[in-house]
Parts: sequence; structure tokens; C-alpha cells
Amino acid sequence: MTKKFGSTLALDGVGFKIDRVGCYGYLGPNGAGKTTTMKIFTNLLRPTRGHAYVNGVDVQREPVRALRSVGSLVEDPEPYGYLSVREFIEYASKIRGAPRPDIEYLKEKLDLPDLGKKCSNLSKGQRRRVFLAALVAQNPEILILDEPSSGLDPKEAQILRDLIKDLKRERVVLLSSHLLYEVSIVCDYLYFIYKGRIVEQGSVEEVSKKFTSKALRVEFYSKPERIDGVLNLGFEFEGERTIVVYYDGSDEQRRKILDSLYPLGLRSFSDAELGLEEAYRKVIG
Amino acid sequence: MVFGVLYSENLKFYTRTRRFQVILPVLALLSALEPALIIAGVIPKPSDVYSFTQGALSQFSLYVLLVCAVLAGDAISRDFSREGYFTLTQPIRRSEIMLARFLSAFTAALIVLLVIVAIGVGFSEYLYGSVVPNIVEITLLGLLYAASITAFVMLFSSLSKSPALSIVTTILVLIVAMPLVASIVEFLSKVEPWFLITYASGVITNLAGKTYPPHLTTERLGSRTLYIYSPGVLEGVLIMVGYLVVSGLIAWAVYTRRELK
Repeated sequence: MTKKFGSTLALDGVGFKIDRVGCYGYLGPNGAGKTTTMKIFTNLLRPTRGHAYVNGVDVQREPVRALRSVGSLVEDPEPYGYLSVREFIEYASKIRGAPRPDIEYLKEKLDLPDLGKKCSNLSKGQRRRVFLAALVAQNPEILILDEPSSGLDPKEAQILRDLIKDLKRERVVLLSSHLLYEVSIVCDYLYFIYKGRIVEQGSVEEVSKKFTSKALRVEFYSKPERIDGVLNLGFEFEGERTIVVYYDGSDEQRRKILDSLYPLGLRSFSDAELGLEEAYRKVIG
Repeated sequence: MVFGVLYSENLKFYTRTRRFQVILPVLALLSALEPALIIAGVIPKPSDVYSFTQGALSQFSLYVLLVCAVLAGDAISRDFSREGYFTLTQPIRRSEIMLARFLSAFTAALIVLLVIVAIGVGFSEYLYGSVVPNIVEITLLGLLYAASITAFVMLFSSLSKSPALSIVTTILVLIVAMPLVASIVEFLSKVEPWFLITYASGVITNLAGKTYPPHLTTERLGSRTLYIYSPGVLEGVLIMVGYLVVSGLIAWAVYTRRELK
């Protein structure tokens, strides 16, 4: 799929196929094209070129048929403010012709607020959880979740992760995020999108290795002198006394780095998880 | 099945809005104010039931504009706010959503307008012991007018992203811009403003009169001649139906193609 907004190319020939249940991470920095992809799959946007298919049905040509199997949480959706939590969840299932939901179970599972509370009075985290409860009540085969943990506190994020782990056993969950940590916990397979293109894909183990173990954060007692002469690898300063060194991930090179930096006043070191922007720079070259 | 759920849910939305809960008692009070002042002897009683009804109906047209603009102003634009991420991702045709919105907004407007009509009829019976003979036609035309205004308001709503903006814009267009344009083209240029929906509402008031006014009357204002047009009943109906159909089609075309960026 390709999607242009005026002269801006948001998606540049993105294509992937998911054909078995599980959780699929769609990872990329802000502005990479994650939400645009999700919106095309939910018929909120039309691709400029190409097609999105759900269960073999073209989303843009037959949206009603295609969306029948999709439940989605895209951007920051708002449950209808005039309805109570209970009413909104019931409405969400009724509109799909789904069986009457077990709301008490959902309340416990997702730690929902008071079921009689109006949705207009919910906090962002509560809104998200109510929305997720509505999605579960609709019982779709495919869940499209766009940055679902955005705005959640750690406890709420944990509830979400547990829910996704449950759901992915019998469903396809496509989860977009800019947090490598988040997707690596719940996803089985990852797609990396950057500047509208998928630049990397593979199982979580394969891909996360590339992103997590190739950098070393080293702290010195004082600002190191003559570091360029000692280190012939790429590195960046983080403040005055700390550097991040990029290397090939081997133990041998790691030892050489530490040996060469020790005389400069090395105080401590640790593996550095790369920021996505940095990681992409390394992947893309 | 889905349509029924959509309709009842949207009606619930409208009847629970503060707008509805405020506009219903306020307009009911306003429409009862003049008859109450007549009964209290504060203002003189109109000579007959026709004059009384025409006076009441001149306000009724304004109430229709207000009620429909306030209630239906966000009928479509709310789908292009954050609520749309739920509504538009459901497996429901947008035409169905739009029709349900139209009918529910119209029903909510109808509740308010029928209360106003009931108050008018009640006072007419109390003051004159009768109502004007065309009351059924007047009411039906009032409902057609409300339906066409609702469709026109939805057209604006389909073009707007902000619910509040669409409500304010339609109120300005219907209550300020259209009457102003009508006055300019009608009084000064001797052009019949058949293209304005507010002009068509004249049939509702005219039907309440003892005699139906001529299509064109003139008045002298200093050295100038002012031209005043009155729409015929068929003409008024055609304008209303035209607005209903054309506005509905354009709103549908915009709504079904619009993206949520």
C-alpha cells in the first residue's frame, strides 16, 4: 500500500501478510506510518495505491464485510460520553450482533471503573480499558491495536499486556507501538516500519537481538580525554561523562572496548538498549 | 436490526444532550409567554384566531431553525472527532449510520416542535374556542420544513470537523445569512428568493391567514418600491423537498467518502 497526504508520502509500498493467530508487532518511531496503516485496515483512510485485505476481503471495496471480523483501537478513541460504562459495552456488542457480554467478568479482568459511571467522566486510562472491554465484548477474529498502552500507567499497561497474551491464543492481534520493550513482551513476530517502509521483520528473538545487544553504555569518573584516538568505533556522548559505543555484538569486541577504555577512567558499563531512532539508523545504514 | 439499534441509540444520545434538555423547556416557555401575557391582559388580544396563529407561527419558523441546527448540527461532524474511531470502524454502512442520525435528530426535533404546537393549539382553544382550519396542513408543512432543515444542517455537519463549529455555522447561515440574502434580492432586486429554504417557510405562516396572500406585493418606502414575495404552497413544498433531497445527497456523498485523518 502507498498513501500520500498531499506531497507527503506516509506509506511507501508497505506490504505484509498475516495468516495465523498470534500477536504481530508493528514497530516504528512516531511518524513512521504505523497509524496510517492501521487506519487503512479499518477503512478510516483509503490507500493512494494498493489494497488492504482482511480475510481476503478488500477493506475499501467491501468495508462492511471486511470489518465484520475486525475490532480496532486506533489513535485515542472516545467511548460515547452520554453512555455509562455498562451501556457502552452492551451497545458495542449489540451493534455487532454478538452475544450479551459478561460485563462483571470484563470489569474484573480489565479493572473497569464503576459500570454506572458516564464515559464522559473517565480518565484516559479508564477510557482505554472500557474501549478494550467493548472490543472483547464484540469478540472479533482480528484485533488492530494502535499504540494501546499510550497514556496508561504501569498497572494499566500490565493489565493490557495480560489481556493481549490471552487474546492472541485464538486471534490475530496486530499491535503498533514505538516501544521495543512492549512489543517484545507480547508479540511473536515484528515488523519494523520506518519512513513509510518496512525495513526489518522477523520473530521477536531474531529482531530484538539486533536492537538490544549492540551498544554499550560506559560511564567515566570524569570527562574522558583523547577518546577518539583510543576508540575506532562509532560512539555518542550522553552528557559529559557517559558514552554509548556501537559494536558488532561479539564478546571479543566488547572486551576490546572495555580494555581500551579502562585507562581513561572507566567507572561503570552496561548494555544499552538503543532508542528506536538510533536502532533504525544502524539498520538502515 | 442494526438500523434499529443505531436509531434508538442515537435518539438516546439526542434526548440525553444538555442541548435538548435546555431547548425543550426554554422554547416551551417562550411559546407560552405571549399567550400568557394576553390572558394576563398585558398585551392586547389579537382580533381573531387567524391573527393569533399567524403571530405564533412567525416564531415557530425561527424555532424550527434553532431546534434543528442545535440538535442536528453535529450529527455527522461528531464522527470526525474521536468518537469516529469507534463508529466508523464498525461493520455498518455509512449510509445507514447517516440515515439513523437523520431520523433520530429529526425525531428529537419533532418532540420539541410538537410540544410547541400543542402549547399553541391549547392556548388557541382557550382564547378562541377553536383552531385555524388548516392546522393539520400547517403542522405537516412544519414537519416537512423541519426535515429539510435537518438535512441542510447535516450537509454543513458533513463538511465540518468540529461539532461546535458546525452548529454555530449552520445557525449563522440559517438565521442571519439567508434572511439577509432574501431581503437584498427580494426587496431591492425584485428577484424571488426561491433558492432559499427560509423563504419557503413563509407558506406555514401564510396558511394560517384568513386569505392566502398574493405571490407578489409591493410597498413604497420613500422613493423606493419594495417587492415582497410569498411562496405558493406547491412552490414552498417543492423548495423544501428540493433542500431535503439535494442536501441529503451531498451530505451522503461527502460522508461516505470522507477520511478520518
